[in-house]
Amino acid sequence: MEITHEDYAVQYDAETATIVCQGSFRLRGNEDYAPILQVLTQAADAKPKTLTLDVRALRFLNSSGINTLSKFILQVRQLSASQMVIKGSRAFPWQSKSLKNFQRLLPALQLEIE
Amino acid sequence: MSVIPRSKDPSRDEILVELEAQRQRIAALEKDKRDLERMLEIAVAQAQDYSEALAQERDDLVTMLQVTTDHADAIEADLQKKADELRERYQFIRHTFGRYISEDVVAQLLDSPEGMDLGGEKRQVTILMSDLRGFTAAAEHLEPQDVMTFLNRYLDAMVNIILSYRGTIIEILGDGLLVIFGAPIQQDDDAQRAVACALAMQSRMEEVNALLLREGLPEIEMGIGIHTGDVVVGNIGSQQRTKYGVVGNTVNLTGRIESQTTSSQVLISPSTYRETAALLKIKRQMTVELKGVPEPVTLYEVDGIGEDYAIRYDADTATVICKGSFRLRGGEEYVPILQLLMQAAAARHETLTLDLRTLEFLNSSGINTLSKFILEVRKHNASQVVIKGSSQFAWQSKSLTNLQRLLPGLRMEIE
Repeated sequence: MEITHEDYAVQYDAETATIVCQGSFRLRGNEDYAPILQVLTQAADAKPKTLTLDVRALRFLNSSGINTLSKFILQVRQLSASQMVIKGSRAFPWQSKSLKNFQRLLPALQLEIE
Repeated sequence: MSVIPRSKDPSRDEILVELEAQRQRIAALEKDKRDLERMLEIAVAQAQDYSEALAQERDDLVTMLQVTTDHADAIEADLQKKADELRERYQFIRHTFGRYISEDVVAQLLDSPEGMDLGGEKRQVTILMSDLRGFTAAAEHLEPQDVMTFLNRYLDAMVNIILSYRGTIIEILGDGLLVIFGAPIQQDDDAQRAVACALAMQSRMEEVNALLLREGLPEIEMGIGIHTGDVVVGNIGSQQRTKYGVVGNTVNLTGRIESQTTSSQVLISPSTYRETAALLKIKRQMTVELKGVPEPVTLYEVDGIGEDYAIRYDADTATVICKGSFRLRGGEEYVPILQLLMQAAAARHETLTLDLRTLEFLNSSGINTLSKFILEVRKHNASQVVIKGSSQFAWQSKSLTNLQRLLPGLRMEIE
């Protein structure tokens, strides 16, 4: 399952149970984010033991984007079946702050910022 | 004693039956009560669950709001940093080029990712060098203060003209100017703009001279040499002081061409001539020997850009003015004119005026060029085109009206 656009891409690899988000997410509102949330929901519904969200190459994420990721985190919490791991990068200053905030929604979330 | 007989007392059995019935009713009521109590308990528990879920949801929403707000703050900080970097870049470019580069070139530099890379680079540019003749003699009749006033006024006028033709002023040495066209931003019409700029500078000098004449001062003539060739451009200098500059034999050669001028002339080299010939009116050509060049060189003295005709696009008033007789040969020779027209069309002015009132003659290729322009405007579908014509030239009424068939919205004003 994947969505590829000239500015961004989101891919779910079922074998490694990893979701990779890349590029700049500047979609407008939740409606535009619906297809992306669908990919994320599918990954959560697969209930892998460890679910990895790799955003190391995610340059930019607007407010509706962070909202979409929050919803996904809540879904993972609801299913309470997977250990969630988020991989981020210090290259994009916003990541350190915003990704850490996800732990407030899912305290067991494991954060790996490189 | 007699006993008043009463109605017959209930028998013991009857009482027992009645008692049993009562007991059963009480038991049923108690069961109802217990059921109700259970139901109440369930309802309370359910309500508690709901309220806990609601509280959880509310907490999640509050957290999500916080996450989103924090995220927006982080992004704003990133954007602010980028804006600061851009401002620094702007200041760097301004600092490097001083006043002597036009705002639109600065904007273009900021837009191009390689804009900051001003390290040495070999490329083709057109160089313009100008010098005043007779200025020293005139200066002798003036107070030192007046000399400076004149010089500053002269330079101010020239700098404005040069910037308007998107030239980059590399050096101002006394009354001499070294200007390049084609760096830091290269354009297709660098050579054409350089020659047009030189002519505009000369025409401005006529005004300066008229002023000097009125004050009883000798005339000043400006010689201009133009040459097109390869140079190395980039930041040149020591660590303490760097400057955007240009080096190469092309520069020296331009200086030698300029020194061949004997009056208010614009002399161009063969390489510049090749790039501009279609547009130019040449007064004469001469073959000269230049220091450092083994073969004699033909120089062309420019009389004007198309003496027979002129086309001018004034972006401020959104007007294109065509004058004189357009007799160019074929579409190819009309390319520069078409380019100018396309530029006007692409600017998407609300109203675009084509002033042809002094256009005496237009050949077939010319009307074809105008038609292409009209089609371009139609394609953009952004401008109301107004064509101003004159009934003085009989062909105009007919040919110009025909353009309405290409663009029905076209407004015609024939006077």
